[in-house]
Amino acid sequence: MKLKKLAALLLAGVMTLGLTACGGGGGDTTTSKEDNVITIWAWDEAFNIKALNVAKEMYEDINPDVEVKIENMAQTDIVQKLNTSLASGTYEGLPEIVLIEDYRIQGFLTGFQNEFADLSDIASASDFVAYKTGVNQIDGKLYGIPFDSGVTAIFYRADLVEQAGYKKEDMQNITWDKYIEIGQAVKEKTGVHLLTVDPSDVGQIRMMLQSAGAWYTDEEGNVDVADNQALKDAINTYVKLMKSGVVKEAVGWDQLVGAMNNGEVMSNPTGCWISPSIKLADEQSGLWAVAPFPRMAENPDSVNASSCGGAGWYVLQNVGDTDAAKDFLKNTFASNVDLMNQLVEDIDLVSTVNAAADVENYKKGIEFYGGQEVFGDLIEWQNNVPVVNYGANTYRVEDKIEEAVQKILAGEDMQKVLDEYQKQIEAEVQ
Amino acid sequence: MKKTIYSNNLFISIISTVVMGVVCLVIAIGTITITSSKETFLEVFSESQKKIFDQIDSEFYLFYRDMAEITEQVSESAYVKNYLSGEFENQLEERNCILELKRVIDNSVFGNYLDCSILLAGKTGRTYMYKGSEMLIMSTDEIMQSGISLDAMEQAQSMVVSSMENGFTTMTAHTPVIVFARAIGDEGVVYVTIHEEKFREMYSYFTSNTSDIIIFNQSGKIISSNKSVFSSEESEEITKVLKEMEEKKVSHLTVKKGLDIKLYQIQRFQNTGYKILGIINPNKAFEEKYNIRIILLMTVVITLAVASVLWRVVRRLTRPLYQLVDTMARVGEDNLEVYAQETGTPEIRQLSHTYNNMMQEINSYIQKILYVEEEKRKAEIHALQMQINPHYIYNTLASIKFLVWQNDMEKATKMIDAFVSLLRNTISDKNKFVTVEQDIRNLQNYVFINQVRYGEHIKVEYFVAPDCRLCMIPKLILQPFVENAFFHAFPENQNGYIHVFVRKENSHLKIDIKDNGVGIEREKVLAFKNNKELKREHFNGIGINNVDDRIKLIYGEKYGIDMESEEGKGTAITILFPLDEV
Repeated sequence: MKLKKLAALLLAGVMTLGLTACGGGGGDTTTSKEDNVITIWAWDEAFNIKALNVAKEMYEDINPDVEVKIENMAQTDIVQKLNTSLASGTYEGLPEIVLIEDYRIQGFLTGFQNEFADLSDIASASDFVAYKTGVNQIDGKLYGIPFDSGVTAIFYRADLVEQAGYKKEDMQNITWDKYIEIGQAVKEKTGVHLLTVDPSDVGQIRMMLQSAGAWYTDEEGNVDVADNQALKDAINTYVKLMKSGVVKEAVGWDQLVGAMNNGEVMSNPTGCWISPSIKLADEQSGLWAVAPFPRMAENPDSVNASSCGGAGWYVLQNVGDTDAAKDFLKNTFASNVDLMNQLVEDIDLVSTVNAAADVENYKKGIEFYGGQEVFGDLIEWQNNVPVVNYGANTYRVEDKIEEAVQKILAGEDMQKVLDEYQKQIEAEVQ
Repeated sequence: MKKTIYSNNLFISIISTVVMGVVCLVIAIGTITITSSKETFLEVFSESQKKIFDQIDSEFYLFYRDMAEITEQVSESAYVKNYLSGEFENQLEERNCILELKRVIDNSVFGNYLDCSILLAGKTGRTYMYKGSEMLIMSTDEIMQSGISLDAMEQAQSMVVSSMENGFTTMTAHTPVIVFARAIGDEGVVYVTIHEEKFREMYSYFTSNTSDIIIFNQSGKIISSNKSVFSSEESEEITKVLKEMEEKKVSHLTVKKGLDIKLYQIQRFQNTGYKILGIINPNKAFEEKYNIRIILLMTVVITLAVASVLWRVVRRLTRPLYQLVDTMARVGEDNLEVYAQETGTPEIRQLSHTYNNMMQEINSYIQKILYVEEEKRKAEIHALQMQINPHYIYNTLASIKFLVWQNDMEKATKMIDAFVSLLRNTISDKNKFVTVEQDIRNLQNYVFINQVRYGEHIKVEYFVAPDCRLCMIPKLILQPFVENAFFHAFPENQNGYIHVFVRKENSHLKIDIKDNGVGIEREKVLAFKNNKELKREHFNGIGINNVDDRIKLIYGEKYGIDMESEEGKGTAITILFPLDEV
C-alpha cells in the first residue's frame, strides 16, 4: 500500500513536471459568466414570458451575437432569491435582467442601490407614463424600464349584467356600492358571484387606496394606518363587499383564473394584465366587456382609475454582461414601438412607453370584448391614475393589514384595531 | 555503406540495446506505476465516494426530514382538513380557515425551501396552492387518481416520494419533478414538489462525466440521478448489478466488459432507507486525472534525450576503439610496423598500449629470427666454403704425382704452389670476404691446376679494372662459373677461351664471365638455377646454383647473377655486387 502510494506520488511528480512543461497555455477557469449571454428572470408564462420571447426574437435580428435566456419563475421565488443573493453578495446564478413588481422595487432600490445599473443612458423618465416612473428613480437616476401598465378596470361579463337587467352604460364610472348592487342582482338572477377574493391578498384595498391617491405610507414613507381616512374608507368598502354575499373565496392564481374561465364569477376589478387569462376561455368570446374601475363613494378624492401590479425591467450591474443587458433593453422594452404594437396583439399589453400610445393595434376593436376598443379606454384611464409613492414596504405592511381586516371583519372596532396595528407595523418596518 | 554499418556494429548494438532497455524500462515502470496508482486511485476514489455518499446522505436526510415534517404538519392541521372539506358555516369562517392554513405553512420550515411548492388537493375537488401564482394543468380528480396520490392514500401515515415526468402545475408541466406526498386523513393529499434539477443540485457537484449517482427509494425505484436518461441497456445493467450486489451482500462491484470497467458502489441511507448508487468509470476518470498522452510524450522525449546523450557518449567511447580496429586491419604480411594511437578511455588506452607493445615484441622477435636465420645460412655457406671436395684433392695430388713421375719438376712445383695457395685461401683463411685481386689469384691457381690436369686448350683471360682490385667480394664466388665453363662449355677438348671482366658500373661492381663454348640449351638455362646435381668433380660444396642465393642473402634482392646463353656461341654470366671497397 505504502509502495503504491509512493508510486502514485512518483507518477504524479513526473506528470506535474510534464504538465508544467506542456502547460502554461492552459485556460484559467473563472467563475464569471460568459459574455454575450444574458439571462432574464420573469414570472407569468402567459404574459411576461410571452413578451420576452417576442422581444428576444426581435432582438436577434438587431444583434444576433447575443444569446438571450429566459427563465420562468414564481414571483415570490424571484423576490426571495434576489433578497438572499444580494444580501449575501453572491451573484452566482443571478440573471442580468430581472422583472420586479412596482410595489417591491423601492424596497430593492433603497436596500441595494449599488446592485442595480443606472439606466439613464438608455432611457429617460419622460419616455414613460408618469405614474410608473415614481418608483424607478432614486436621486434623479432611472434604474428601471417600466414595462406593463397596471391600470385597473372592471373586466365583466356583459351578458350576465344584461340578464340582471342592467346595461353596459350602467357599468361606466360607477361606485363600489353600485358595483355591489349590480353584483347582487346578477347573483340573484344567475347564481354567479360578482368576483373572487383571496383572503390572503387584500389587493382590492390596495387598488381602492390608489384610486384615492393614498397608500399605507405617507409621502415620507411613514406608516400611515390609524389616521388614514382613505384606508378606513377602503376597509369599509371591503367589509361591505365581503358581507354582500357576492364574493367567492379563491386562493391563488389558479382558482382566480379558474373561477372566471369556468363562469363562476361575472367580473374581476383588477389590473389590465388579467386580460390574457380571461381570454383563455375561448367559448366566452364576445361576452366580456371592460369598464372603468369603481370609485369609493365615501371618499371625495377617489377617482374611477387605479393601478394594480405592473412591473419594470431592472439590470443587475454586478452580474454578467451588463452592457449586453442594457443594449437588449434599449432596443426592446425601452423604445421599440414595433415590439409594443406586437405585444398589444400577443398579450394585450398596455404599454407604459409614451411613444407607443398611438400604435395601430391600440385602435382596434377587440372581438373578445364585443368589439370594444379596450386599449384606447385603458390608455385613457391610465392617464387618470393618481400618482402614489409605494414606498419600500408595501407587502410587509399589507401582511399586517390582512390580519387587521380579518379582525374588523370579525366585528372588532376598526379604529381600535388600526391603532393597534399602526404600532405593530411601525415596530416591524422601522 | 554496408561496410560502415558493419564497422559501426558495436556502436549500433550499444545504442539499440540501451534505447530498447530504456523503452522497456519506461514501459515496465510506467505500466506498474499506472496500474498501482490506478488501484490506489480506485481505493481513494471509493473512500471519497463513501464520504460523498455520507455527505449526500446527511443532506438528503435533512431535506427528507424537513419534507416529512412539512407534510406532517400540513396533513395533521385541522384547518387543512376543514379547508379541503369545504364545509364552512359562513364566509368569515372560510376566510379564517384559509388564513390559518397559510399560517400553518408559513410557520413550517417550508420557507427554507425556495425551490419547492406546496399543493393540497382534496377529494371534494378543492385545491390549495401556497402563494400560488401558477395554474394547475390537470383537474383535481386527475391529481387524486395519479399513482402518487393513490400510494399516499394507501400508506396513510407515511410520506411517499416519487419522481415524475412532470408536475401538476404550469411551472412544472414540462420538467421532471420529485414529489413528496402524504395523505391528509381521508380528505386528500398534500404534495411538496421540487424540480428534479434542483434536487439534483444536492449532489450533482459530486458527479462528473466519469461518475454517475442514482438515488433509489425504499422500493428500489429511481428517484433521482444526475443523468436524466439512462439507455435501456444501461438501466438493464444497473438492475442486474443491484440484484447481484444484493445476492452477494456487497457494497462494491466491479463489472468488466471488455476494456470497459465500471465500478458500482451502493450505500443505504441511514434513517430514510433510501439507497444511493455510484457508478464510476475508472478508466475514464483515471484518464482525466492522469493524462496518458502526456506520459507517452514524456516517455518518447526522455527516451530520445537519453538516446542522443548515449549517442554522443558511446560515440566518444568507441571512436578510439574503431581507430584501433582500423590500425589493426592495416597490419599485413609485409607490414608489421603499424602502431596505434594511445587515446580514449583507460581501458582502450591500455588495449592500444598492449597492442603496441605486442607489435614491438613481434617485430623485434621477427628481426631476431631473421638475423639468426641469416647467421645460420652464412655459417652454413662458410662451412661449405671451407670444404674442398676430397676427390678434387685426390685427383690433383694424382696429377702432381704424374708430373713428378714424368719428372716435370718445374711444372710439379708450380702446381704444388698453386694448390697450396688455393688450399690456404680456402681452408686456412678465415675471412669470408676477399679483394677482387685475391679472388682472381685463387681463380688463376684453380685454372692453372685444371690446365695442368686437362690440357691447355681452354685459355682463360682476366680483365680487371684497376679501381676494382681492392673491392671486396665473397671468397671463391667466381670459381663455380669458371668450373662450369671448363667442364661443360667445351666438350671433346675443343679449343676456347673464358674471359673474366671486372669493372665498376653505376656504382656497382660488375663481373662478367664469358666463354665461346657450346652454350647452354634454353631449357637448361631455366633449370640452371634449380640445378641440384652435385658433380663429383666440384671443387667444393658450392654449386653455381646457390651462388645467386648467396649473393642475395648477403647483399639483398637487387644483387645477384644473370645468365645469357646462345647455342654454339657461348654463355655470358653477369654477377652484380655492391661496391665494397677496402
